Amino acid sequence: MSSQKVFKRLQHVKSCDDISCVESHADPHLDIILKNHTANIQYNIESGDNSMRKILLVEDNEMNRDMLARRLARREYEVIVAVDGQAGLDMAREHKPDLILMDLSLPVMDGWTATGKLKADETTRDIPVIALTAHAMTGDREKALEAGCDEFDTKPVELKRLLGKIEDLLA
Amino acid sequence: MGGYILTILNPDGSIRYESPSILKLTGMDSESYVGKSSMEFIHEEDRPRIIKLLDQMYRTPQRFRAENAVYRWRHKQGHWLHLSSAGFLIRDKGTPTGILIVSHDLTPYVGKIQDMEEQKRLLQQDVDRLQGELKRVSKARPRREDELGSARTTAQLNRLQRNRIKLFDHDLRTPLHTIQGYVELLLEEHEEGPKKDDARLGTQELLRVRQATQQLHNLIERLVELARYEEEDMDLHLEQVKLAELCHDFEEELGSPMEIQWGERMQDIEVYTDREKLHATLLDQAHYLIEQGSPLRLGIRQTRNSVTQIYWSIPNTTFEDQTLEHLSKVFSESFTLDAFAWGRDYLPHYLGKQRIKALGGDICIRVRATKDICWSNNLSTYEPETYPKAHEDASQQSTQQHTPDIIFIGSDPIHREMLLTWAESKKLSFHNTIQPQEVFPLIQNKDNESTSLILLDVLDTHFDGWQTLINLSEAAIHHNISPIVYAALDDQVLAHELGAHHCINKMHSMEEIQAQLESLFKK
Repeated sequence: MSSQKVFKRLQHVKSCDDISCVESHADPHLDIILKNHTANIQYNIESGDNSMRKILLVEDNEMNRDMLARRLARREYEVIVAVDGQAGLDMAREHKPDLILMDLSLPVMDGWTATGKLKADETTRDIPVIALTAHAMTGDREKALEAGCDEFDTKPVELKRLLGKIEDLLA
Repeated sequence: MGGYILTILNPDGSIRYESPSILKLTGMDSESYVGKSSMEFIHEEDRPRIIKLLDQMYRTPQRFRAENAVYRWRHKQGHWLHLSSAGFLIRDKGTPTGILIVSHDLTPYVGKIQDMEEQKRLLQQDVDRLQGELKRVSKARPRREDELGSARTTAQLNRLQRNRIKLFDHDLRTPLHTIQGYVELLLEEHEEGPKKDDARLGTQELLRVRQATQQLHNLIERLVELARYEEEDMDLHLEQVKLAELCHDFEEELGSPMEIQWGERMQDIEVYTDREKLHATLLDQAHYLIEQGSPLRLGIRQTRNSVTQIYWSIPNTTFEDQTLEHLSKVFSESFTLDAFAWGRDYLPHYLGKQRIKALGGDICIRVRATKDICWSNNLSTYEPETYPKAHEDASQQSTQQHTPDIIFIGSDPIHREMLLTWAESKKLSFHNTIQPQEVFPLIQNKDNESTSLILLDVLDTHFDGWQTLINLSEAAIHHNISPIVYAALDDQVLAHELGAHHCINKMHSMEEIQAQLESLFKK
């Protein structure tokens, strides 16, 4: 089942009971997507605050995805997550987040390509993209900005610094 | 240039008659010459020669003779004309009374000749200069090529080093990011208390911190090991290791189902080796193969020449060509330093290869389409007391790089499989690569007693096949190798021209190709 279809199915999930029901699905690929999406819906449902800014976190490392999503959620951001560049592209088109945190070394489609496609698409080009990467050598920042990223930050993340960049771009 | 000039000289050299045509040539009328000595008008350098000639004519009056001479005659304005003259003795009843001289002006020709000689001289100067330059350049060329080669190598090493640092930097930052993030998350909760909607933090997060710490630790350990290997300081802790015990815990460690395949007697087999290094190598190989498919099989067997093979395989695989190509690339490249340019996954393979080499063995990998992938570690089974010496010998042999009998430069998995199967059936060693530069050190190390067949897929897109053929042909002059080219019919003439000893059409059936190879190998 494609991630697109799964997300469409999840549009109908309205409660935590529904989520646990979906989570028990047998398809391992689906499980990954559902777990990711569950985090998103969980934050969405439990916060009940529609004024929250929505951040799309595109990150393939499960632990880092979970950790950063939770740290951002603690600061009243609504966080949705994607596990690769293509899924990030799909989610950006569908959910129109206020900002995207984009890892660059990603499977399926890398972050540079995904950002290029986002910036080439009229419907997503205005969404600010922060490249969030462990590539921290000379030239990596320039490469990310050339691909269309609006900002660049390196792992390990210094949250205060990252939050400053997020707020600057959302302002 | 005018016509001829007639002059009659008296025996004393004075001019008796001068034809009027001389006016046009010398600017002086003929009357002005009469009675004057001819020597007055001849260049002083030419005079002795002309006097001698005239004297000879008078001395032998009985002979009718004409003497030819070229000399310089003064123009009225002082410059010199070049005359070519023939002299005829005038006799009266046998007695010489004078000499008739018929002269022709050569001045315009002489001018041209002088111009040409000057041009020739200048050309010769240029030729000499260029030859000197050529000699100097020829002398300097080998030195410059050495310098260029050295600069290229340095640049390549620098690039490699930079790529390596870049990858390691990336790989170290990733788990550090996890650890730092979770620790701060836990601290935040500790300081601020849990958020209303947030899940309780605790054991799960600590386990993740531990997992990331372990990843970081592994990476640091590998980097240290790599540095030790590169410093030629890989320390070995040798002991008698029972393989059954070594392999016992793999299933649990891998967290994946696996099958152990060995004969009854193999259960008791022991090798004298470094338990930790062998264990780490086998585990890395298994982790990589599990990513490719399952179920994983671990096999142990002993072959001739006291070699113990420990091999992982994934049986009955039906990988697509693309996957096979990727696997083949990983296998062929992961044991070279260049591999670091391709990604972090190569580090365990590269280190594994170095560990097994240090243990006196070697690694061989076989990918057979629709059959299996087999990753085999071949260890020498030496007795403990003989190990150190045997180990030294084996290490020495290992570093000397035995030249394989069959070398296939190409990426086509079907042909690779066919060649491997054929080589195995003939008990010939086989090496496959898509990096032609790997082959040349093998050729250089080779003794000239045996022949190596080198099969080159000249149209393979992973390298420049035609240039490789040229290089192989040059190497074939000095080493006992036979470059054989896989080429389409249309390309075979060119392949022969560039030095291929034989051409094989890839479109032929495998049986036909095998028959051709067999015939070539017999030759």
